[in-house]
Amino acid sequence: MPEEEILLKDLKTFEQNAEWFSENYSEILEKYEGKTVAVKDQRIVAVKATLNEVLKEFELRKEDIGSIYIATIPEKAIAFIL
Amino acid sequence: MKIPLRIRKQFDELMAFVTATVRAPHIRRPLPIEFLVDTGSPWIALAPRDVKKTNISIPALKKPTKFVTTLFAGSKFWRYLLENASVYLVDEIGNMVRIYLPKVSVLWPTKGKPEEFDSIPSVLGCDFIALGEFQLHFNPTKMTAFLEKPEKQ
Repeated sequence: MPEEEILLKDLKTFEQNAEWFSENYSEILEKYEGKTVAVKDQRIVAVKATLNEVLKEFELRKEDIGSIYIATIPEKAIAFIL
Repeated sequence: MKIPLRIRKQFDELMAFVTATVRAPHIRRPLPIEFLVDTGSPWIALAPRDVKKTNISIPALKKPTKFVTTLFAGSKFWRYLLENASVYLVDEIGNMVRIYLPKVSVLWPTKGKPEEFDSIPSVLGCDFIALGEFQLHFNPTKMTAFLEKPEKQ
């Protein structure tokens, strides 16, 4: 598949996962505060203590993370101002 | 042409995010990244979590001549540059849009463990909006947000 087609496919699939994450953010925050989660096919497929552990997990599975939405959930008591 | 933004309630308030892929010589496998749309940032900048995800080698990057360090989310970061970058986004009808940027900032903490900063998002700042000739529309009351590029006559 040409590289630009792969980029577009990844962008669209990632977007669906990111959209699902946003819609379910309050529940995810309650359940996974302080953890790193990975979303694939609009469901959580990995939960680890750190981002490095999630990346390692997919590396071990030999699974491409192109379309997988990965987020570290902040602690409930902390907000960030950029 | 419009680029839809995603609105998420975080820290009790509505914030606008967008998915984009950065392609540049120092990125071997370009991956989609979630950016917070942030007009408080002068630049588009990759946060440490996305540096790790895209496997960018920090020592291979150039440092800027100006603003070598930056304060971001209350912490101090070294600023590096990804040069000759293209940013890819998807418009409202599903077509891919490419914006060329001569440089994209990459942030790495000056101290502390990079893991401490994993919940901080990358940001889409003012340089992207200006160079892409976009207008930003964000109406939290109506839950609408998009970047719009007027068609040239």
